[in-house]
Amino acid sequence: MSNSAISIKSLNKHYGSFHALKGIDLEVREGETLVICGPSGSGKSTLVRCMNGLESYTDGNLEVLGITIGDDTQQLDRVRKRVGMVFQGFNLFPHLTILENCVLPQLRALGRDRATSTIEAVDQLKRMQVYVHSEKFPDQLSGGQQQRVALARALCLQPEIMLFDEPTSALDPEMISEVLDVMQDLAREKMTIVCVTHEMGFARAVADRVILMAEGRIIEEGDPEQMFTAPEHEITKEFMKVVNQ
Amino acid sequence: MAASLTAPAAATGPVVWLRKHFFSTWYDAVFSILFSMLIAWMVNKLLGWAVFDAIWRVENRELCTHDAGACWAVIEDRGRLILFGLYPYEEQWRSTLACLAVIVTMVLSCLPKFWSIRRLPILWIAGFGIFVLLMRGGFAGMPLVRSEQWGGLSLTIFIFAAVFVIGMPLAVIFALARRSTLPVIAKVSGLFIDLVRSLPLLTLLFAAAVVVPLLVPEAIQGTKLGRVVVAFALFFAVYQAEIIRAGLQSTSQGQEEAAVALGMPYWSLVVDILLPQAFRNTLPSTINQAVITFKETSVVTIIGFFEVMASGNAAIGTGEWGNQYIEVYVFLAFIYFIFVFGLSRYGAWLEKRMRLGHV
Amino acid sequence: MNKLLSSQKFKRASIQIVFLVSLVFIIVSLIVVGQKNIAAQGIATGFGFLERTTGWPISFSVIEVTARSTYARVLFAGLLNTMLVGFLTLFFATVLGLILALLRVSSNTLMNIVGTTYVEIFRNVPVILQVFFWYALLTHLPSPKQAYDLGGVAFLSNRGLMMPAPTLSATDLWVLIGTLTAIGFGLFYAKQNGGAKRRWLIAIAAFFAVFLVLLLTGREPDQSLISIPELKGLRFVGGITLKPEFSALLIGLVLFGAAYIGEIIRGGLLSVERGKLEAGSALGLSGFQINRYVRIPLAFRAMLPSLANQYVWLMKGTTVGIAIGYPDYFAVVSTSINQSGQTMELLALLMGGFIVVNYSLGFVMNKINDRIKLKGRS
Repeated sequence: MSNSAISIKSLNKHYGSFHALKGIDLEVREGETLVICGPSGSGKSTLVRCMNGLESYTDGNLEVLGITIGDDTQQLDRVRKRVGMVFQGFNLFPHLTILENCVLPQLRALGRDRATSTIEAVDQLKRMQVYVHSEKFPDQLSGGQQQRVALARALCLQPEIMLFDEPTSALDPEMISEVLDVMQDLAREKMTIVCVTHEMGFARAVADRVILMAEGRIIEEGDPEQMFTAPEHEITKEFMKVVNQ
Repeated sequence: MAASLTAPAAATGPVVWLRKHFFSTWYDAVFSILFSMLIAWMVNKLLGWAVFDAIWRVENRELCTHDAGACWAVIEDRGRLILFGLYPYEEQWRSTLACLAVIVTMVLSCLPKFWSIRRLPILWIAGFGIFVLLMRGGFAGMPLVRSEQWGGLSLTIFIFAAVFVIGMPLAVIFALARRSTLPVIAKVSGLFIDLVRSLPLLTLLFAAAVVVPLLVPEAIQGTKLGRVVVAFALFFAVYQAEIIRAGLQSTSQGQEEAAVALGMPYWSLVVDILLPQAFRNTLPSTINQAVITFKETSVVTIIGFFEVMASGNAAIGTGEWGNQYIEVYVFLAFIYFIFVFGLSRYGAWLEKRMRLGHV
Repeated sequence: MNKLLSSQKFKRASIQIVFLVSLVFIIVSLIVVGQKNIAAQGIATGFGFLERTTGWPISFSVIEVTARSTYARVLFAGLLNTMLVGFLTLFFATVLGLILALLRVSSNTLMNIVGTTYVEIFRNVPVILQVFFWYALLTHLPSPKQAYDLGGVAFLSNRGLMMPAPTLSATDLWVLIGTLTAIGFGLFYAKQNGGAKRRWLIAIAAFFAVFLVLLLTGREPDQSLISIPELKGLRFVGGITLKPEFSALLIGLVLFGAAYIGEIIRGGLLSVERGKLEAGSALGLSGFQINRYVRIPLAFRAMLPSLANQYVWLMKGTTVGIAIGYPDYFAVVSTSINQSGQTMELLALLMGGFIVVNYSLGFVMNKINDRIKLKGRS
């Protein structure tokens, strides 16, 4: 029986008077690929961002890799070094080269020496097939290349969980597949993945489980085939109709 | 089918250029003619006074009458006073070297090679340190010369460099404090910055010179020069803090999130990610601020320091050179002009290059 | 315990508490040491000294001030001096700046050169040096006995520019101000009727009528209408004198300020997108009409914040007047500190005065900005 990588019980989050997450219960198993989809404003990004403490929550219980996420900064720190995140806007550091983008976090977050960090960075960049651009600056690369660099940067810290917040939403259509391909490779290597995305093809091919969220709640969950071909809930049916157009 | 028209004759050539730039309308033409005559007359008079009829050497000073040209002899006679103040005559070579050290530091700061968060501070501390050591002396056979005797242009340069070296780190601290997510710190620093910005520089310097000794125990009062320099640095820091803050704001929030998600500590976020970008983005404004500061060092003459304005006035004095105030003031203006114009031209060039995306 | 130390809430709260406590501690100790030192010098604290007479005169004032005036009055005179020089500077510098900006954006290259040369020269020399220069120039003029005679009614000497002036008593002046305010209010309330031009004509006519009446009535029988300066012995008597301290400061600040304001106006003019000017052209507006209805209004909105900044800066710049002996607010305060020893109170008044002037100026500019700014989705 594999362990829970992420365990969420009755999670609530308020933004002032706005109730963004309403009583979320969720378990993510080790090695599982979970896709979260749903209409905008449903709280999907907020939920994922709670998982590494970028957003705080009002009440409930959130445990990642056995560590409770809460007020304790030391524990948050430990979690962030074992959980990686890829953003919609890539968020590369524009004043550093691609290689340095991948080396610096290792130096500062993990305290590794420069030699080891560089070797690791080179490995990950090669894995993402962007090594040839190592000495360039982020704005010299295309969106798809930048996102793959962002993924390589996160992987340099050897995380046990990877979070993706709409990784392809800011990309031109022709570049989406190059990013999804490397994400699929990751999934096949049994990395624990939580991914917020609209890309249903990716979900069908790779996800172990799909969750639909709307208005801060989990409406339905199940395996991809079932969700897409025979959804049960009304909202899910509506959403799938729109998405499959 | 309509007859084809030939294209109009090409509008090039020197006549056309002249027409366009000087005579495009009738009032343009009138202005151009009148003003070029006026300018020609002015330039002629000016050159006559400043160059051709001028008296350059001290030996000829009897020729410096009301009708003669400029009496630049005053510069030869009092030049050292203006440049070095009351610094001992035999040691003035140290003053010269010290000023050169700071000038070299300023020039080197303009090279992108030195634009790293480590190199720039080291460069400035080294340059400023060399300045102080050379001026003060007291070791390696160089007699001690206390700061009360520093004067003239070298005092101006000292004040400028000191304000920069002390004020920059303060500016970074103020900018970060104002951006802090801790509400108390953000509000208090915001109030402080806005308060100091609304006061004239002179009032702050005056307060530092006269009022602070009343409020503070003897032990930490320091010298009058020290207090005034710190107050000046504070004034510079609050203006520079706003510039840095604007630069920090222009770096996208996403980068902060990425650094946090990667587990990078806060100090690294600031030093490795935010500050380098903030400084690069606001380099033209920073240079502009440096230019303004250099000009404002002239204000300390009112507090009673013997910097270059005061030494200039002393050179004129009421004695033999009393009527040569124009020559001396023009000389002073020239000194300032070299520094200020040079620096602001560099700033403009830099801004252009950055806008085109080359830096 | 360890858990508490690493709690985010605890860290945030404790940092802020430590900060506040240290700040309070520093301020309190400054006050305590300050009070001790001042008491040791035998000086009373408090603002009571404001009602004492100063015992020293000041060289220039808009209101009447002698060595027997109270500190309060003298300080007020200093403040008025600052505002006098300040507002005159703002006005003239803006006018000159406008001319410079137009020179620099004109298509005539000679105009460009003249404008650019001016700006580069006057911007790159410190203002205090410029003020010293003009002061030296004005004080090297001949003495009153050999003054330059301008048409027999005005005289230029090293004591200043003497000009004829209408003799108005103090009450005259107050009545004048009162009437102007009344006319102002009248204009404001009559906004609805008559249209702009008519309103202005009525206002100007009323102003002159009142002025004439004042001039002709309430006058001593042998007092002349206009007082003309006359040389009596070594000095001039009568008329109004523009002292060199005042003139040099004004000239220096205006020439310096105009260079900066010119650049701001130029920036504003250049910031108007070419597309909008071309649209005006396409609509058949003449060059003059495009300037009046498109370019200048848009440029004005763009340049207002920078202009406001520059105005505040120029106001603060009047403090260099002390270097040449102009008794502005700062000069008066520092002399008072020297003479009375009431350092803390006077310093508070000094800083308070400037803060008030600056915030008022900023406030007015903000109001103007809000009224004219382009409304859109912000």
